[in-house]
Amino acid sequence: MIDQRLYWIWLTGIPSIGPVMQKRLLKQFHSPEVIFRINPRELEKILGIGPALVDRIVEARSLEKSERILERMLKQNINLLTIENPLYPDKVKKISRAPVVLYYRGLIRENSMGVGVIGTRQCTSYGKQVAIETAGFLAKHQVPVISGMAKGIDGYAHTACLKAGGYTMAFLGSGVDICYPREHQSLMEAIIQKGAVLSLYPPGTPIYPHHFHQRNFLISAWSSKLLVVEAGEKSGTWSTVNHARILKREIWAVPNNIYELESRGTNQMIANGAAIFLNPQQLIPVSHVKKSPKTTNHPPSILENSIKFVREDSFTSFEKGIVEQLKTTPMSIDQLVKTMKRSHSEIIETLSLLELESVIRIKPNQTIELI
Amino acid sequence: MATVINSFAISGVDGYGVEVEVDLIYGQPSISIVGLGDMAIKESRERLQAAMVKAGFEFPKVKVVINLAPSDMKKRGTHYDLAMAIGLLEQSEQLLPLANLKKMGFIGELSLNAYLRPCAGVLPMAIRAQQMGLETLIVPEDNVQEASLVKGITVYGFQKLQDVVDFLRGDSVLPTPAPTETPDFLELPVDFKEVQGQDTLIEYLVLAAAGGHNMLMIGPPGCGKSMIAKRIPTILPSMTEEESLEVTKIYSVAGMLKNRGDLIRTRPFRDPHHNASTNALIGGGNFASPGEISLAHHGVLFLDEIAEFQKKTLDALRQPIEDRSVTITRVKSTNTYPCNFMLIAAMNPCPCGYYGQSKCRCSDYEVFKYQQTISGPILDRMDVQKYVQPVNIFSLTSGYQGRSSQELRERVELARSIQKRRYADVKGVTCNAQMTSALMDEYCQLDEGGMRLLQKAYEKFQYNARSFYKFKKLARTYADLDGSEIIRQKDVAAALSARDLDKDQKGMVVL
Repeated sequence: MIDQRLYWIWLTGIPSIGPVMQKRLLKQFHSPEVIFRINPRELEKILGIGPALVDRIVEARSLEKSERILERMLKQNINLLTIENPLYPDKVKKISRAPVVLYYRGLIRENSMGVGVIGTRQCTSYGKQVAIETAGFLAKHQVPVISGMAKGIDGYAHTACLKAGGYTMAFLGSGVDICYPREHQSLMEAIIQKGAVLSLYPPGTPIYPHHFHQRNFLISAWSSKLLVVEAGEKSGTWSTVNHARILKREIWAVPNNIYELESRGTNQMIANGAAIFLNPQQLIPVSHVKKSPKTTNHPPSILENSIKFVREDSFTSFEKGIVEQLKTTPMSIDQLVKTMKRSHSEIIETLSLLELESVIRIKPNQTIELI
Repeated sequence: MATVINSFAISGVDGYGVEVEVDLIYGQPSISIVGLGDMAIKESRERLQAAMVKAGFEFPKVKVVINLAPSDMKKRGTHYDLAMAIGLLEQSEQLLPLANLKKMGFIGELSLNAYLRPCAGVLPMAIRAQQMGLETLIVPEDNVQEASLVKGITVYGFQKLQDVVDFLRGDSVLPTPAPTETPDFLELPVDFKEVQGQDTLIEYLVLAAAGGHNMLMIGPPGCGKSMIAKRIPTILPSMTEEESLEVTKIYSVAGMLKNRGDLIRTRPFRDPHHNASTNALIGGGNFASPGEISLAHHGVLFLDEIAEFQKKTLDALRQPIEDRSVTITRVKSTNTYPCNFMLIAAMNPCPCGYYGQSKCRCSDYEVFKYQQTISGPILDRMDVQKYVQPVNIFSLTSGYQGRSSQELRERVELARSIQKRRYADVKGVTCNAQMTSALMDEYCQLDEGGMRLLQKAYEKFQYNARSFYKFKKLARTYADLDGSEIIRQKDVAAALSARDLDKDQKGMVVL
C-alpha cells in the first residue's frame, strides 16, 4: 500500500492551489489519494475549478517530488501534521487559510495552542528580561510558548521556556531541517527534544523573505494570546500582529519608553488598541486557570512591587545600611564605599554574602540592585 | 703550536666558554674557520683581513686555520672577531707573547676600519668568564657597563683593535672604566594615583598581584584597561638581586641592553600586539631567541584584546604558563628560557563592546560565543576575571585621590612575604597561584562557615569543580592580605566575587 502521506504532500505541492481550494477538494473527495486518481471530469464539478485548474492538477499528477520529500522526512525524523490529525487544534482548523499540512520535528502535544511571545531581533535588556520572565512564567503554568525562533526576543522566549521545563513551539520560514539563524542550532535541537519545530514548507526549502509572512500567520494562528515584547517602527512583528487582529486573537504589548527605538512599535500597538501588558498573569488563558498550580510561589521579580527580605531580621546593621542605600537607587561598589565610608574589602565581602542570599544582584554594568 | 684565546657563546640565557684556536700552516694563503659557525662567523675572515690591515698589522700570507672549540656545538654571532684577531696576531708573532693571555677573555665584533662594535649577550658571557676564573675581560667600549655588572673580574672596554693591542703590549694604561649611572629605561613614570574611578577594580588587582594570580579584565573600549595594566608592575614587590640578574640576562641575550650601567631593577611590562605570531610570543626564529613571554620574566605580560589573538598562539601559552620555562627547538639550536610572568589580559565583553550598557544589542548567544573565543584552558588559567565599567567622568571631579602605587605595593609585599615564608621549603612555588592540589589541602583549609558559603555559591551559580580550587586559592590570598593565618568566612565571601565570567555565563539564556 502506498503511504498516504505521499498524497498529502502531493496535494499541497500543486501550484495555484491554496489551502482554501485544497480543503474544498478534500471535503468533496475525502482523501488526497482520491483527488490524485479521480477522473478529471469529476474535478470540474467543484466550485471554483475551471478547465485550466483541472489541467494543472492533472499535469501535476506525479508522486516523484513527493517521494523525494518523504524520503527526506524519514531520514530526518520529520513528521506530517495533517488537518485531519486530532492534534491539529480546532481553533486553527477553523481558519479558512490554515494549511492542510504542516511539517514538524519534535512532539505536538494536545492543546498545543498557547501564548505567542514575539519581538525584535535587536532587543534591549529590558525586552530580554520581559521575554525571559514571561516565558518562564508561562512554562510554569504549562502554557505553551509560541514563537518564531528568530534572534532576540524569540530566542529568549524559547530558551527561557525550555529552561523552566515548559513546552514551546517554533514556526519557521524554511524547511524544518534548516536552522535559521545558524546560531540557534542547539536551541533548535532542544526545542525538538521538548517541544516542536513546525513549518509550512517541505524539508529542504531555504529561507525566503516572503516565507515569513506565512510563518507569522501560523504564529498568530497558534497563539490564543499574542504578546509583543519589543518592536520597532517597521518591525516584522507588525505582520504577525496584523494576522492576529484578523484572527481576533488577543494582542498584548509591553509598554516602554517612548523615545526608545525598540519600543516605538509596541507603544504604537497600544495606541492602536493592543492591551497593555503589566504582568504575565494576564496571559494565562482562561482554559488554563483551573489546571495551573494555585500557588504562585515564584513570581517574577521585576513585576513584584514589594521587595521581600528573607532574613531582614538577621541582618547586621551594616547590611541593613547597604540595603537602605540600595533602596533608593542601584549603586556601584565604589559609590557604596564612598557613602558608607567603609573599606572596599568590607563592602565586597558583604555584597558577596547578600548576593548569595539573593537579596541583591549585580547587574551586567556592575551596579548593585536589590532583588 | 696553535694559539688559544678565550671567548664565549650563548646557550639559552647562559654563556659557555669557547676556545678560539688559531694556527698557521705553510701553504697556499687562505683562511678557514671551522667549528660549526654560522654565516656571520664564516664572514669574519673578510672583516679580519680588512681590520688587521687597517690597524697597521700584516695579515699572514699562509694558510690560516681557526677552530672554535668545542667544535661539535653550533655557534653564531660576530663577537668572535676580536678573539680571532688577537689569536692571529699572537700566532703570527706580531704581538709580544703575553703569559696572561690564558687569563683573559675577548668579546667583540670588528668593523672594516678596525673599530670594535657592541654585541648581544655580553652579560651572560661575562658571568661565564668570571665563573671560568678569568681575570680580565676585553669588550667593546659600548658593552663595558653591561659587562661590569659582574663582580670579580676586571673589564676593559676599547674602541679600536689597535687600542686592545696597545693595552696587551702594556704600552698604554687604561683607567678602569667607571660605570656611569644611566636612567632605568624600563622605569615608567606611572603610578596608580593617576587612575581614577576604578577603585574596585584596583582592589582586585591588588588581590591578583598579592597572590601572583593571572587576571582577565573585561570591559568596553576606553574604560582604562590598558592604563591600569601598565601600572601593575609598580605594585609588585621589588625584584631580588637574583631575579634582576635573571631578567637582565634575558635582555642581554635578546640584545636589548643598550649601555646600561645597572641591572634591570623594575619588573618588565610587555604588551605584544594581538597580531603577534606564536614565535614572537613564545620565542623562536632562526636562533631560537627569547620571545615576549621570556622578556616578561618576573614581570607582567599584558595581552590586550586577548580575544583577537590567534587561537593557536594563545594555546601555545598554556604549557609555558604551567612550567614557567619554555624550551624552543630549532634546527640551529635548542634553548630553554625562563618565563615566570603574571598574565594580565583584557578583552571586550561582546562583539559591540558595550555589554551591560543600554546601547548594547548583542544577544546572549553572541556574547557567549565571543567570550568563548578564548579557549577554556587559557580562561582556566585566569584566576581573577572582572568586568570593568567605564568611569563616570562627572564623578571624577569630586577631588577624590586614587591610592598610590606605594600604598598598594606595601599591601602586596606583606602578603607576598607571608607566602614566601610559607613556601620556603617547597621547590618551584613562590606564591598562592602556583599551589598544587596537595599544597592546597595543607594550606587552604576552610572553616565550617567558609565551606557552607562555598557550597551555597555552588548551588546558586552552578560552578564547576575547577572554580572550586580557584576560589580556595583566592580566599587564601585574601587571608594573606589581611595577615591572617586561617581562611575566614569573609575571605571566602570576597573570593567569590572575583570570577565574574564564570558567574555571568551561568546566568546566560543560551542553550
